[in-house]
Order: sequence, then structure tokens, then C-alpha cells
Amino acid sequence: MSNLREDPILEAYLTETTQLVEQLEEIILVCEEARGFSEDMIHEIFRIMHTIKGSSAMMHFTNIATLAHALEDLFSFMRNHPQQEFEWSTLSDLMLEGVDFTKLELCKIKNGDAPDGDESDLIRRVKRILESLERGELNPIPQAPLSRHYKAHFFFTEDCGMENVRAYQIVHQLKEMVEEYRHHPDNILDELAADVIRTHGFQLWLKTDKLYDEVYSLLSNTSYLRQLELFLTDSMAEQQAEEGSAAENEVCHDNKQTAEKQHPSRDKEAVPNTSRHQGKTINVNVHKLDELMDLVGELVIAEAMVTQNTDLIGLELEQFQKASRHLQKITKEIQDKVMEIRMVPLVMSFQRMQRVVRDMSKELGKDVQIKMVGEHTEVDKNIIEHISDPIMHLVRNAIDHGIETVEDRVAAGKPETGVLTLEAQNIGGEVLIIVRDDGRGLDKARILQKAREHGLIHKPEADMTDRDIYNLIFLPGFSTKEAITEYSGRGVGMDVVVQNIAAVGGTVSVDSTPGQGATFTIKIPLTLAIIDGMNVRVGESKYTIPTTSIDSSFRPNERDIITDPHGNEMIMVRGNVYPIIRLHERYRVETNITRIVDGILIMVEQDGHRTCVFVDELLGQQQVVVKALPAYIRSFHSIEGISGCTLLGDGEISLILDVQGLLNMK
Amino acid sequence: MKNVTDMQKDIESYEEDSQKDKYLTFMLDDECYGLEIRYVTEIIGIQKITPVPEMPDFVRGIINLRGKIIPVMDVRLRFRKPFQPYMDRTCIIVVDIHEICIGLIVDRVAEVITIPESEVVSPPDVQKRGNRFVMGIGKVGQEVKLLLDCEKLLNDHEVEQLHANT
Amino acid sequence: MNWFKNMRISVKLISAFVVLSLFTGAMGVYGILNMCNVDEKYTDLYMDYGVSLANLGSVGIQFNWIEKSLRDMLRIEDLDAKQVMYEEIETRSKAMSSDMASFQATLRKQEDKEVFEKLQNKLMQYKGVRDQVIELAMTNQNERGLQALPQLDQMASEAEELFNQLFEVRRKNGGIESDELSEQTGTSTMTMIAVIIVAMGAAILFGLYISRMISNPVRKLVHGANQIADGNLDVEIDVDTRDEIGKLAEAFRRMSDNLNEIMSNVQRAAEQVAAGSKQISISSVSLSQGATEQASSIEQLSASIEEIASQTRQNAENSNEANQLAEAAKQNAIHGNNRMKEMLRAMDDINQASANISKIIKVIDEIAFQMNILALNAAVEAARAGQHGKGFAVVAEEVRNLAARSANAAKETTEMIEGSIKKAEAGTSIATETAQALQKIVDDVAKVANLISEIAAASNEQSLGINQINQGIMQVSQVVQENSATSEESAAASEQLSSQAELLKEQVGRFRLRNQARSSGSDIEELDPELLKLFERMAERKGGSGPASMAARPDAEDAPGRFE
Repeated sequence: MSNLREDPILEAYLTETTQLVEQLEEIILVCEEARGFSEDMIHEIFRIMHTIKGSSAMMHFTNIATLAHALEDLFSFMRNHPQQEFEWSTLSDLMLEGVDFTKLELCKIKNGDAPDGDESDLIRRVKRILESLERGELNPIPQAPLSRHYKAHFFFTEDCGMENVRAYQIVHQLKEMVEEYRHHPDNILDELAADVIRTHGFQLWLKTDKLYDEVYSLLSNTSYLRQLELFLTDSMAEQQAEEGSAAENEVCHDNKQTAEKQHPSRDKEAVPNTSRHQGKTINVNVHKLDELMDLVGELVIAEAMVTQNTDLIGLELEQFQKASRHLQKITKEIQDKVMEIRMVPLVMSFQRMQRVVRDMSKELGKDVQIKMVGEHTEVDKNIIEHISDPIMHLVRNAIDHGIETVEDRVAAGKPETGVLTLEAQNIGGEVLIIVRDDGRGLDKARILQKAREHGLIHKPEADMTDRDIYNLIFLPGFSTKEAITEYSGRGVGMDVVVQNIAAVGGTVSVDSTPGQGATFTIKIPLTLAIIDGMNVRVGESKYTIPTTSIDSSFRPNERDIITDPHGNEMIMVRGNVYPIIRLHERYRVETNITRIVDGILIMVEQDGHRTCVFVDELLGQQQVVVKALPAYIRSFHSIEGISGCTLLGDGEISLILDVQGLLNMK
Repeated sequence: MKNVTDMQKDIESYEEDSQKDKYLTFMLDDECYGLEIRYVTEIIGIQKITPVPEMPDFVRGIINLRGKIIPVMDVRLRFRKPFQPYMDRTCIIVVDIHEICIGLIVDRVAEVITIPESEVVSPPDVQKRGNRFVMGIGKVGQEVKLLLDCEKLLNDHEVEQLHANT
Repeated sequence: MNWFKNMRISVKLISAFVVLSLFTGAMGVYGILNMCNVDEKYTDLYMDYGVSLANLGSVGIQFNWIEKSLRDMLRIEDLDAKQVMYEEIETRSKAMSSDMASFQATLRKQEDKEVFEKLQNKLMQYKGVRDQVIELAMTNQNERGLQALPQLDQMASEAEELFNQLFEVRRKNGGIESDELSEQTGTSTMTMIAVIIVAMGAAILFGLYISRMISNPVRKLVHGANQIADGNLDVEIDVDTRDEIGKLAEAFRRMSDNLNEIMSNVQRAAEQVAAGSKQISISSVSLSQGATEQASSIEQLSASIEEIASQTRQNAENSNEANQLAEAAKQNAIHGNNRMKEMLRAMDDINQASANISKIIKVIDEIAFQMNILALNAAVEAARAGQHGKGFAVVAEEVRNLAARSANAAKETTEMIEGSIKKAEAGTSIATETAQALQKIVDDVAKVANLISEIAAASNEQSLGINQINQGIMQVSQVVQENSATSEESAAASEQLSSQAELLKEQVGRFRLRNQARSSGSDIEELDPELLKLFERMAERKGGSGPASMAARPDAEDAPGRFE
């Protein structure tokens, strides 16, 4: 069941239009910040609208076209009358609405549905502004009700049980936030509803002025949610009509994995190309890039299979070696280039946050300024998708619960405007994304209490550092059950964040200073797919250790090995003592080499902590394509110390060791 | 348009239904089991399995299928039968359930047969071990085939795990 | 007179001659004395009268000359000539003086002396005047000198007178003495003649006596010697003086005794030698015989060794031949073995081919299996395709059937191959056994060959050894032959010896010995014991054959017999 249309023209249209819409949004936000529409911006907007109008008309997407047309007229006027002042904020709001609408329509188109949105309301408002401008009125156009209509379709995980109760939770959550809502099945308190929900999902229609993203993130913070589909709809009427349909609706995203909640991709087809950099660019379908990436991965594997072929063992082939080294070099270059292609600066994600910050701070009456550092740090496309949501969560939380109201801030002696810093750094093989606020910080006592309540504390409390306490909030089960009672303490959905980040192999951590603010740090390995690894052998099994984690390897001396009374083995190296991890014991691998002096010790290091891993033999260094362990495997539980697997040159699978995990194994 | 969509969907479900009565049968010892064909992706011969630590015994590890890494489960062990070493006739049936790819190690693969719903009866006594994966018994001529519920086959362990956790 | 007789002859002779010589001597002495006396007297005579007169004469001459010269001097005017004359005068004057001295020495009688003195005075005077005259002459005072002359002449005349006186005296005296002398000599001469005649007579008598004393015994001895020379050793010498002749006679007697003895000894010894040499001869003969026998037996030995040698050679040749045969057999066995191995290899190849076919069958089987899987996959896909896949399903089914048929065919072929492999294995095991048996043959043959070559080598060595033995025996034979020859030679020599002994005996037989009784048997038995032993040994060696036993016996009985 493919989502892609076969039609290349349509592809192109969608790509282009989405991109333009994104640009438009960005421009609007910039203008908002600049508190006005500069001439250049107006020109730009006009140009965009013009283009959209033309292409949409060509594709017979009349609603988009007409809306674009209206906006085009508006901006044409503004372009021609630069000195005309106008209420920019209303305009930007309206623009953004139009953007939302267009996005929605594009979504529908992408899904194969007809773009049947009603643009008339928007057009009316546009025309009104235009008229007022034409008339020279500065009257702020009364804002049209911002209410939007959404339809949400929930699917819970199998056997989660009490689906109706969960549905009720959702509804309960939303009660305060939505103006209207309706759901199907209606009576969710009935047991039978559970069945209906199980089979057909829980459908919820709501009307709220909240923005799509907000609604989505709120709704996606439901536990046991297997799948959420959220649509922007026009009216409740449509909702009712759709009620009867038991069919599944597809949302603008690919169904990849059930455990994930996908954000309806706005940036699915984004290309690293902002309006500021209007260089020579072409739009490329991300799928193609993905395929290219996969192919490059396959190429690396195949190249390894050729150059490390078992047939070649023992042969002296000088010319061949030269040629294969050349091949390796070129392959690496291709790899790097493709990686580069896939790299997208975080700036897009960050800037999207601007909109969120703006919306939220308006709603909550707080004054929050967003600051971006290192937004041009590039990360892989995949990662961008996966971190948008978490960043959004973190930003929301920061604004929601972190940054105080203006009064509180003043009272606390802080500047009125809260600062939310989005920072991205490229360190070593990782990308650090830091969300920092200067709000009130985390409440340690409360966290501890909560953790205690939920039985999440495994260490004696006295041993826990502040950091440990703060990081409790990431534990699964920490905040989920709150929803039953009330919002209290830190917001919801931290474990969602953790899961999303973990899905791309990253980690989240938090630190806080009470009264000063909190800092959330997301660490994501940069090149997800391909790392430099050292292959080792334990018995018949092969493992790969990332070379960036390896400090050294050596054959140990009997006399350097110390055993403590508990039976733990350690080794003395250059005056320091390090623990020894016997892989064959840890992972229950059969091997003949059990005496440490018969094998090799590899000293690995992470965050300054070191340990020594005991293996049978070093096999060699190699660039490996990282593949995640199959979801099924991971569904049992994550294996501590194993972060993934890779295919070696001879086709064998080697498990990739995660040094942090090994260090944690005690 | 909606109708078209609906129709499409109907056709699909019809198609799906037409897949529904088709089963791929395989042998464990002398017992013949069947899997719904809609879950079966392909059948391959036995190949080198890389063991993954800390997994239940029936999860033998992972294999490399044309660059794709797929976990494999030994159905015998899953059914709590005694383990038999793998011979060159041992096959792996690759199934795909809700985007989860997994390989099932079976003694022998038999054939693809159609068993109409009328020939399928419910299994007796759901709670008995080993049979909880069986969702029905199909009669083909003189033989019976035990039709398996793929999803249970994959996911049933969660029950165990949940019980273990609480 | 015994004591004289017992004196040694030499003494006798010497005494005779001594007496004689005494006489002679005495005589001589007397004569000499006389002669000396006479001589003296004559000398005196001469001197006193002869010589002195001469001197006187000389003086006179000188005196004359001086006078003359003086005159001359007074005549000439030449100073130089005067000088010369002066010197001449001086010289003669000196001569005169010396003669006067000499004459003076001879004066014995008073008378003479008186006269002499006068003369001398005169001369002195003269001289004195002369000198004056000379001086005058020298200073050219010739005239004056001439005046002095008469004085001089006077004096000269006086001197002359004196001279004449002297002469006369002297002559007279001289004559007296001479007569005396002559008388003396005549006396002595008469004496001497008398003594001589006496002496001569005594000498002759004494001589005769002594010679007789000597020659008589000598004559006896001569007689005795002649007797002995004639072979009569029984002689008596009747001489009993103690002088040399007596001793000689004694010695002669002893000599004859000894000769007797010796000759009898010699006789005996000759007999024994004869006997002994006979025995030697006999033993030599027997030795020779023995040696000859030895030689013959050595010949036999040699012959048999030759035979052995030739047999050994034959042996060696045979074993060589056998070796070659064994080699040949071994080669054949190896050849056979190789063929066996080749056959094994061929069978292996068959097996290999079968294995290859097996592999291919396995591949076919594998293919069938894969086809089956493929067919199943196709069926799965066909099922998925639903309606559209029905035809595909049929195709899949057909493929499955085909796979099943391939599998069956593969299985049957496998069975057939296994059967053929089994048969090949059976064949292989038989071939292996055969190969082993052949190998054993090869090994055994190798061993045999080894043994044979050892035999050949041993035979060769044996051959060599026998050759050496042969050579040794040859040497022995040579030695034996030499011995034989030597013994023949020695037989011959002993024959000669024997004959020589006979000769000796003959010679000895020519002598008539004094007392045969003295030659007792005991002397004869004094055979050389060593010689006896030698004979005994020879007898033993010969094994007690005739001649040896003969030799063992003392030859006492025979020897005298022989010499009878």
C-alpha cells in the first residue's frame, strides 16, 4: 500500500509547493519577530504566492489556487504600496492560517485524497484585509475565530486493555483545551466500546483554537497508543459524515513502526534549502536519498565482501590490494558525500520552534524569546525527523512549566523576557541538542516523591546525585500515570521523548538549577549509519567496537590481573586499575579462551570512564554499516551493551557493542 | 471519491480475504502446521545464525538476508519441543507481521494449500501449553493441519514478561 | 864343569868371546898406547925440531928480505914506494917476531935456549938499527942510511951465525930423539906378536869345546825330530843339561808327549766326527726325506686349497648370479607392485569420479531442494496475488513436481553410485591386499638379495682369504723346499764332512802313537753334549726313525772300532 503517487508531476508539485509553504512560514515568523514586513519579505511572499497559485491552478487544486490568488493580490497591493502601514500581527496570523490550510490540503493530496478544504473563510478574511488596506484603514481586523477542527483517530496497542478507559483519559485531557469535542464510539464508559475501539480505533473530533502541532503532541502523549492520526478538518459536519466509516484513514506519514508516534511530516520532503540560501539547488525526493543511502550502505558491505573475501586469504595480491584500497577510498568518499547530502542543518527544526514558542507564549501570556546557537549544525535527515518531536516536547515543557510568568520573573528578579536557548553542537561523533531555559528549574523533592510512589528508585536515595534525580523523569512509567490524576509537576510525555531519541540511538539527559532553569541535552550519534569499528571475536561470535571508544588493546600479563574478594577481575595498567568485562560470560558465548592471558584486553572509554573488555582475538578494523537490531529483538528488552549490529565482509553478522552500556553493566 | 476509495478498500479486503484461506504448511516432527500466507514473505534454506545474548531460548539470534537483518525463532523451542540440530534441509520461513520481520525455523516446508473456512474448526482447550498458538485446525483430506496464529506466535511472550514484571 | 855346562849357551858363547875380546883388547890397548907414545914422540920431534927449524928458517928469510928491502929503500927516492916497503918491512918484522916466538916455544934443552937468547939479542939490535935506518930512509936520508948499512951487515952476519948454530944444535938433538923412538917401537912390536900367538891358540881351543857342548845335544834333538817327523812319536831325548839345549830338549820331550796326546785325541775326535757326520748325514737324509714328504703334503694341501679356492670362486660366481636373479625378481616384483599401485590409482580415480558424480548428484539434489523452496515461494507469491496468481500457482506446482522428480532421480543415481563405489572399494581392498603381498615379495626378495650379496661378499672374502692361505702355503712350501734343499745340502755337507773325517783319521793313522793305553775310553766318551742333544732332537723330529735312534746311542763302541 504505497503512499507515493506514480505521477511525477504531482510529485514535483507537492515537493515544490511544500517547500514554498515552508519558506513562507519561515518568512512570516521572521517578519513577526522583526515586527513588520519588510519590502524584501513582501516581495518574497508575493513571489511565493504567485508560484503556488500558478502551479496549483495547473494541477486543478482550485482551493489552494484561489487562496494563493487572494494572498497574491494582497501582497501585490502591499508591494505596490510600501508605505502603507498595516497590522502585521493579524496579517501574520492570517498568513499562518493560510499556511496551515495549504499544508493540510497538500497532505490530503499526498494521501490520495482530494483537497477538499474550504478556503472560503480564509479568502474572505484576506479580502477584508485587502479592502481595509485599500481603504487605508489601520483597524485591526477582528480576528476570525481561530478555532480549528480536528479529527483524531486513535489506535491503541494490542492487549493494552481497557481501551475505553484510555479513550476517556484522552477526552478528559482535552476537555479543558478544546471548545468542542465529539467522539466515536460515543459511550466510552461502556465495555463494549473497548471492543469497538480495539477494532476500529477511537475517533475524536474536536474544535479548538490550538494549533495542529499542539493538538497533536497533546494527543500523542497517550499511553499505549499505537497509532494516532490527526486531521485538520473544516467542520464538524464532515466529521460526522466520516463517522460511519470504519475504514482506516491514512495519515500523511509512512507506517514504519507501530511503537512510534509519527509527527505528520511537514518536513518529509524538505530539502536543505532555506529561503536565504537561494543557491543552485534542486529538489530531491527523500526516498531517493534514502534508497541512495541504503545503496551506499550496501556498497560498503559489498566492498567489504569483495576486499575481505575468504577466497583471498593468504594470497599476495599487490595490484589487487592497491586497486581495492582505491575502491575503498572512493567508496568512502561516496559515502561521505551521500551523508553530506542527507545532512540537514538543524536550523529548520529550530525555526519551526519559533512558531511554537510564539504561539505558546501568546497563549500562556509569557514572554519568551528563543535563542538559537549553532543552528547550522547539520544532522542526518533521519535524525531531523525523529528529533523534531522531542524538541517540540521539550520546548513546550520549557515554556509551559519552566519559564515563569512575567510577574513571577520580575518577582524573582529575572528579566521579563524568558530566554529559551536552542543549541546544537557537533562534538566527536555526536550531535548535541540542548534546550535550555532560564525558568524555575526542576523540583527535586517532587521528583523523588513521584519516583518513590511509582517504585522507580533502584539506588539508595542517598547515593543519588542531583543529576540522577533529575534524570528519573525519563524513566518509563514516571509521568505516564499522572494523566489519570492531573497535570502536576513536570509535564507529560518525557518517556515519549526518550523513546523517540532512543529510536535514533541517542540519549537524553537533564540538569537543573532550582530557580535558574533547566537544561535538556539530547545526544545523537552523528553518522548513524556508518561507523569505524574494530571487529573482535569471542568464541564463534563476532562483535564490533566503535574505534572512537577504543583507547588501546593489549595482551595482558598474568601479574597485572587482580581479583577482588567478590570475584571481580581488574587489571592494572600504567598505575591505574580498571575493571575487566568478560564478554563470553556476560553474553554466554562458548569459547575455549577463558584465561585472560590467552586473549586480548581492549580498553574502552566513554565520558572519561574506562573499562577493559576481554575478547578472544582482534579481527581487524573496518568501516561498518550500522543496522539496528530488529524490532522484534528489541521488543523483548534492550540488550545492555549492544547498540546494534552490522554485516561483515563475509556476510556474518557482528553485534556492535555500546560502551556506555558495557560501563553500566554491573 | 470516497466511494472509490471505499471500493478500492473493499477490493483490497476481498483480495486479502482470498489470501486468507491459503496456508503454507510445514512440518515439525510428524505434525503439520499451517501459516496464513498473507504473513509469509519467503522461504529460505538454513544459514548461519548469529546468536544474540539475553534472549529467550527460542530466539536463536539474527541472520543476514540479503543485507537485511532478521531475527529467527525456533518454532520447536517455541512449542517447548526438544531441540533438534539443524540439517541442510531445515528451512526458515520469513514472515512479516505488522512490519515485524521474523524468520521461523522449521524442520521441513511442505506446500501451499487452500483450506476453506468451512474446513477449519476451533482448537479445543485454548489454555494448554503449545496449543495456544493454534488458532484453528484445518482438515485436508485425511490429514489435519494445525493452523497457527502468527501474531500470537510472535507476541505472546509479552504476557510472560508482564507477569514477570509485576 | 857342570856348572859350566849348565850355563846357558849364550853365556858360554859370550864368555868365549869375552875372553877373546879381552885378549884382543889388551893387545889393542897395548898397541895403542905404544902408538900414542910414539906419536907423541914423533910430534914432539917434529915440533921441536921440524917445525922449529922451519920457523927458524922463516926468520932467516924474513931477515934477509928485510935487509934487502932496506937496501932498496935506501936506494929509491920515491916516498910512496918507500912507504910501501916500510909497510912490508913492518909486516915481515912482525912475522919474524911471531916465528921467533914459536920457535922459542919449542926449546927444550938448555943448550938450545942459550943459543937462542943470543940470537934474539942480536936481532933486537939489528931491529934497532933498522928502524933508524928506515927512518932515515923515510926522511930521505938515504945516504945516511947507507952509512949504517955496514953495521947492519955486521949484525946480520952475527945473527946468521947464530942461526946456524941453532940449526945445528937442533938437528942433532933431533936425531938423537928419533933414534930413541925407533927403538921403542921395535920393542913393542915384538911383544905384540907374541901375545897374539898365544891368544889365538887359546881361542881356538875354547871354541872347539863350546861348540861341542852345543852341537851334541842339538844333534840328538835333530834326531828326535826326524823321528817325529817320520811319524814316530815315541822318542826319547837324552839331554839333561840345564842350558838352553837342555831346555830345548825338555821342551822337545814335552812336545812329543803333547803331540802324542793330541794326536791320539785327534784320532779319537776324528773318529767321532766321522761317526757324527755319518749320523748327520743320515739325519739330513731323513730330514730331507721328511721335508720332501712335507713338501708333498703341502702340495696336497695346496691342491686342496686350490680346490677350495676354486669352489669358493664358484660360490661367489653362483651367488653373484643368484644375486642378479634376485635383483631381477625384485625388479619384477616392484614392477608388479607399481602396476598394482597404478591399478589402485585407477581405482581411486574411479572412486574419485564416482565421488565427483556423487557431488554432482548432491548438487542436483541441492538444486532440487532449492527448486522446491523456490516453488514454495512461488506458491506463496501466487497465493498473495490471489486471482491473478492462479496460473502462476499451476506453474509453481509443476516446478515442484519437477523438483521432486529431480530429487528422485538424484536419489536413484546416488544409490547406484554408492553400489558402484562399494564394488570399487571391494576391488580396491583386493588390490590393496595384492599390493601388500607383492610388497612383501619385494621386501623378501630384497632381503634375499641382501643375503645373497652378503654371501657373495663373504665368498669373495673367503676367496681372498684362501688366496692368502694359498700364498702362505706356497711360502711354507717354498720354505719346506728350501729346507729340503738345505737338508740335502747339509746331507751332502755331512757326507763331505764324513769323508773329511775319514781323511783325518787316515792322516792320524799315519802316526804311531806312544802309548795307546793312554787313550782310554773315557776320553772318547767326552762327546760334545750339545752335539748329542742335537742328534736327539733330530731323531725326535723324525719320529724316532732309524738314524736318530742311532744317534742317541753313544758312539763309544763304534768309535774305537773305527779306529781300530
